[in-house]
Amino acid sequence: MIRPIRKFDIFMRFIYTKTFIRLFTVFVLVSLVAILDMTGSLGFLKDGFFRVFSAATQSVGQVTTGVKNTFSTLASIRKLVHENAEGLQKIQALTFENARLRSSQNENISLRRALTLKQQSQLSLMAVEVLTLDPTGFSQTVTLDKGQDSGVAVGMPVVVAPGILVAKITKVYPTSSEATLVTDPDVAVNAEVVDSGAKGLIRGEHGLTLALDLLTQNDLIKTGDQVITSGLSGDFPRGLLIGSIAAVRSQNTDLFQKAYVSSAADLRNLRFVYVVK
Amino acid sequence: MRVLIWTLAVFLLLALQSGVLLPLSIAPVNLILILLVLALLLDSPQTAATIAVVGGLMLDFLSGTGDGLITLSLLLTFSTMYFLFEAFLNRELNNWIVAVSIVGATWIFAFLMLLSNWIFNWFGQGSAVDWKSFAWEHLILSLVFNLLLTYPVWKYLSLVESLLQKLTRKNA
Repeated sequence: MIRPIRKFDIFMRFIYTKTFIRLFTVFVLVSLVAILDMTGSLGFLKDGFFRVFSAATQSVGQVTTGVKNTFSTLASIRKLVHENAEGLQKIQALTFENARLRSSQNENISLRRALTLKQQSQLSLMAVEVLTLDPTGFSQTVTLDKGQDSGVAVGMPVVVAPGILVAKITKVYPTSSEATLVTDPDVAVNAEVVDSGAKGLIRGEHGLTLALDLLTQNDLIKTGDQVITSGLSGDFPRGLLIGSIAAVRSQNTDLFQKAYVSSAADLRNLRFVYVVK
Repeated sequence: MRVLIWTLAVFLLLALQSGVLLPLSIAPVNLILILLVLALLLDSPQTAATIAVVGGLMLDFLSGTGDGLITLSLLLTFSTMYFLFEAFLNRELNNWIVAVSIVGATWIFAFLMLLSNWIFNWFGQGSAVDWKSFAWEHLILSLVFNLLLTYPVWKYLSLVESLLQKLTRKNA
């Protein structure tokens, strides 16, 4: 008597085909890579790959940036004279403001001493070079050329001179590290609007915008206001510049108002940054 | 030999993406996905599978996601597209077929990436996703840039293939 072919038999036959064996091998390999990454065993392999890839990318990138800069300069040559005059005027105003702030800072130090309050520490910065940028856009990360051997640790803030927050160290390898940009939804920064003192939480939206959320309806905020780190959570030191408010979205029916912040740094063209130790 | 040439080609394509497209703010775009779909359409499933594995691993290393996430997404996209081509589409050089394949693959890859990310999140290796901006900004920009860059990648695929043929002839 002939036994009818069951679904189970078809499945068993498929298991013995070459296609199944190949597919199974590939998925086992992927799982192995994931496990090795979890245990941190891929560090040296990744270090090597980052160096080679960075060497290939940077030479191409320099040419692209050079061409881009030439064309953008040619396009904006008319504006340059006007911008130059405006810039000089701004420098004069900022020089005056800087002198005034230095005097206030000295006064602040003296008063803190008098009140025996803890002095605000100066930032200890370590210069690092950006090796690669995440090409997928799914997660906003950059690879840095210094790692565990140089004292880089997970959670350290990354800034561009002079104190503009751009990222946070999220993975560390022996001679390189990965930093997640503030534009990634994984990074949340406690922020403060300089003029009004309004406090909120900044979170990235896939590299496209920075959203400043949890601002109460009573907070007075306007476009152009500068946003700094509030230092509330302790993840980032207070006073690092994040950017300025580009748009405000406030509705009477909402519990909180939301603002969109444009970063003070060009996050797509990072080359040299500093790790705050 | 083929695998080595395709590994180099994928590496070079990624270097071009990072060195040329990123500084020009042409992002998010996925040249590896385009190459994979075109290889599946115009070349062989073996070439497409090689691109999926090699490109996926390289993208995994370069992105901040858990390693294996993009490789898994690309492999699943490859399997889905292979099934779709076998079942519904003709493998021919037709602009409409190419465009529809790229749009479809971008959607499928985005969905499978989210699915893989969800699986990786069980092990604490996934990333946070802002659904609204992912759907309305990231995905739409990906679709536009992927479609615009299909033609240059098509030419690149032809170039690598002709190089491979020359090398094979020399060896023979």
